[in-house]
Amino acid sequence: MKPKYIVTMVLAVLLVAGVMIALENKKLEYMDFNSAQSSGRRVQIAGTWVKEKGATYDPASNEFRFTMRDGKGAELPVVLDGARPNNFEISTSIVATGIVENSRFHASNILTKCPSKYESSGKELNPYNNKSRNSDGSL
Amino acid sequence: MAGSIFLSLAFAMAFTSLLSYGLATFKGGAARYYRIGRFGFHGAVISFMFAAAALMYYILGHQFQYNYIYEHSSNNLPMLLQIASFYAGQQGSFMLWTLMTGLIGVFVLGYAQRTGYEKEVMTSYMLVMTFLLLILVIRSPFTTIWGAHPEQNIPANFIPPNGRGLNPQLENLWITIHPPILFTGFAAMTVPFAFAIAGLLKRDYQRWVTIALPWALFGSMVLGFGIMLGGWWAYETLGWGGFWAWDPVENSSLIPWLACVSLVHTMLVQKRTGSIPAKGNGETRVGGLVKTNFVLAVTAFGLVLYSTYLTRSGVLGDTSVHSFVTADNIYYALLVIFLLLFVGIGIFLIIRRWRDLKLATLSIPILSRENALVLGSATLLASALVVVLGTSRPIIAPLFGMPKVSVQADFYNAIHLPLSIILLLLNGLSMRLKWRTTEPGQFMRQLWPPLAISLAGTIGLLALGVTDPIYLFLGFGAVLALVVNVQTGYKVLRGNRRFIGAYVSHAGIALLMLGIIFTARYSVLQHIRLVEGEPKQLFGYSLTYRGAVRTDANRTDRETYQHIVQMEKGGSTTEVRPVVFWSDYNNREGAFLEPGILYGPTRDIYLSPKAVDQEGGDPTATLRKGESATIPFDKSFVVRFEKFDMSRAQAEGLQGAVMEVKAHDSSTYLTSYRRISDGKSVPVQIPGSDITVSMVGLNADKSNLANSQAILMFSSPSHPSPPAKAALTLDVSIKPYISLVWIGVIIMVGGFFFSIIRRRKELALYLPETTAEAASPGGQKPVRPDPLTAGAGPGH
Repeated sequence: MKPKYIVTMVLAVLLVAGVMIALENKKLEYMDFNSAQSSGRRVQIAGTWVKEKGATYDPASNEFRFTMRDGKGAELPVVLDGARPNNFEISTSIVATGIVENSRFHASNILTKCPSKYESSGKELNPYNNKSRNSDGSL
Repeated sequence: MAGSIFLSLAFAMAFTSLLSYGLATFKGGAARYYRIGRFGFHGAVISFMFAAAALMYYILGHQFQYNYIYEHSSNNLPMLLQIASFYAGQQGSFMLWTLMTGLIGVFVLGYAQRTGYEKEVMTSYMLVMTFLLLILVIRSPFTTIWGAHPEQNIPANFIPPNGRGLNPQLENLWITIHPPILFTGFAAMTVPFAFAIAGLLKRDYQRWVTIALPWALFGSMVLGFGIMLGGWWAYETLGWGGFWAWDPVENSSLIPWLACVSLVHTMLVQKRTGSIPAKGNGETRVGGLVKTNFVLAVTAFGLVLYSTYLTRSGVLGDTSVHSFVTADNIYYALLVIFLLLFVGIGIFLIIRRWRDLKLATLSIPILSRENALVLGSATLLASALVVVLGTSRPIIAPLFGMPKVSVQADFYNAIHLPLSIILLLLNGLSMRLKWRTTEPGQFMRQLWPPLAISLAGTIGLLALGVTDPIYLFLGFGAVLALVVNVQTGYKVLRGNRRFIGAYVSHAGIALLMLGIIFTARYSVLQHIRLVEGEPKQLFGYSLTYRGAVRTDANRTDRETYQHIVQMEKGGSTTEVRPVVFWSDYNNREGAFLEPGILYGPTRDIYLSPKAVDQEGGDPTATLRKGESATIPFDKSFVVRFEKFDMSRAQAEGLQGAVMEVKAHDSSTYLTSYRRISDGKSVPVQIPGSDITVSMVGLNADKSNLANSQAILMFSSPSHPSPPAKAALTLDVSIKPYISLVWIGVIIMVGGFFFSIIRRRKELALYLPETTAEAASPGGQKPVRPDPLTAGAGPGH
């Protein structure tokens, strides 16, 4: 075999190994609150904002607090490092990245998914049925 | 109605053209197949332009009976944004993609005719167009709301009075520029693919490279520029704080770009190591990397489709900030079929021609320009694959029965640090390498001056604060690349100017990397709250908040305020104005925020607003129905908010809050009114005290009116409060040398432009030989008879 191919293969193996290690180290698992609590790792949790329990931003500490309900119905207070995320109020679901600490989800990042862009929601459409927007995002 | 018809007509025309060109390719080139093919193509483009015009016309005419327009436009949008709502959603962006593919197709057709490639290129090109049109016919932007939501029993012909509008975050100039450029880039990616497929069909393994190269350059240029504009948009308006977040949607435009740039480099190797007859003299010699080029051209286009699939089918629904779609099975299926079909065709043809392709191998010396190009392409491709893997992680894991997992943005940074160092070193060194072979001694001798300068430059970076060793390494690579390219480029400028493109674009990349080193690693951020009129020191500046001014008094659906922050340093004062606005889009429940930026050549100061509140003033309480509050300065009174009183709203424009005030053993009902037009409220006095209560605001919750809150203010002359002052909370950051990011990309884009001009001119050398083919269809005689193109030959 030519040395050229050996070098190429060694480099390729190195790259693949590096990528595999990085993929493992930098992974973010999707969990619910219960499993996030027991894992103690940085994870992602998808859920919804419990609107009745409000949401507040404290400018002094730069923390945004609200209560989130995960896919299994468990609720946990969330503290986000930073301001109220864009589109927070109109989001149909949110994905928070962070760690569970002292029965609170300490989030470093929050993604909001809003209904009206790139998706058909059809809310408030029917003139005979316009009394409510369903908060669960269903039609 | 007309829109749907034009859309269907375009699809039928494109399909006809596809069949006809297909027949010309596989059954022989009868002139009438060409005529029908061209007619079908032009017909498809024209019909499609009518369809697009119809959509635009419906948007401008506020025809909200169309579901797409209802969801993405509204009466209150300014003209420019109405135009942008054309492609604000899923169907519309496919419209834009198809439109660009059609328009580029007009040039491709002429180009393919001149280069003798019409039937094969147009067959694959029309296949792409037919597929795009098929998606649009199945998921049409002309679907009516009653058709889109049959379960709601909406009566036919019902026209909603207003649409849902564009997300106000997107309401700015950039949405009118960024997507069209990005989709032009995507559409241009079709061309190298079409020529590669044509080359395989024609058994032309060398000429296609020369012919498709300008298009690969064009795709890289436009897509690269589009990606940069997206980064600029995120930085300048969306307030993400940076220009790149490794979001799936961003990645999905980066991946095809990396693949296409990789292709450009391998094409250069083949073009250089092989030869094609100029003006009919000499014979064709196939250069190196012939297989690689076919594979890469197919891969690059495959990655365009794969990226589209990732971001459009909804599979990555909860990992992207760009709220792209929830799963839609039709798109999912169509895009998978689309992807498999095109990649499948590519792979099938490559395997089919494998025996021919195997013959054309070339050994490349280690110390040569060719080898540097090969290594550079391989590294770019590795980068593309890393981004593909990272972005696809959430869908890969479940395939193996593992729980869903995504990757942190860190992953991409960690891998790209070493990859970028390799790329920059190759970028610099390759320019000093000669084609075919370079004498090592001479190479080293020539390398000393730039190496010495780069070392000095790296020490300069250290002095500027780049202390992290790996970033210093990256910096060394960037400086080396910059020095070598500027030096060589300068020589080229004085000699043969048309070769300047490569040096310009490589110097641009080096500048971009320098910018990234500084901003990504050495930005600093500080959280600060500024009370109106009270200066605070930060980063050597004295910052004073000077209140807000409204900037869009003419709009009823939103209120936009510029918050004036005065920044003073060394006697000179400047103003930066971050923006906070409230929109009906979210019922004004939360503010939308846009940063204010103080630009500078060595650093930007980035003021990202977080919240606006008040300090001092009389105390307030925000209450829902039934909730109570104790008056802070007189604990003996408890105020319970009973209900809103809207009885005077119609006639007098007043809204009221009915309260029960409880003191010890007594209780009184009071109502404070607030004028809706200007927010002025009438205080009511609590009997037996000097305390007044006024309703100063209302937080309406339109989804559940019972949840709405009243804001009550308590005042008392005997308990004076400090005067009310507004306060602005900001994240202030310094972004060192971020200007290099934009300058670098623009220079790189310029380099691509010069290269396109050069390669187009070169092409002219080879054209005369082939113009005959366009006049009399048929093409060259195959080297060997081949069942795939049996019957193809001259003179049909």
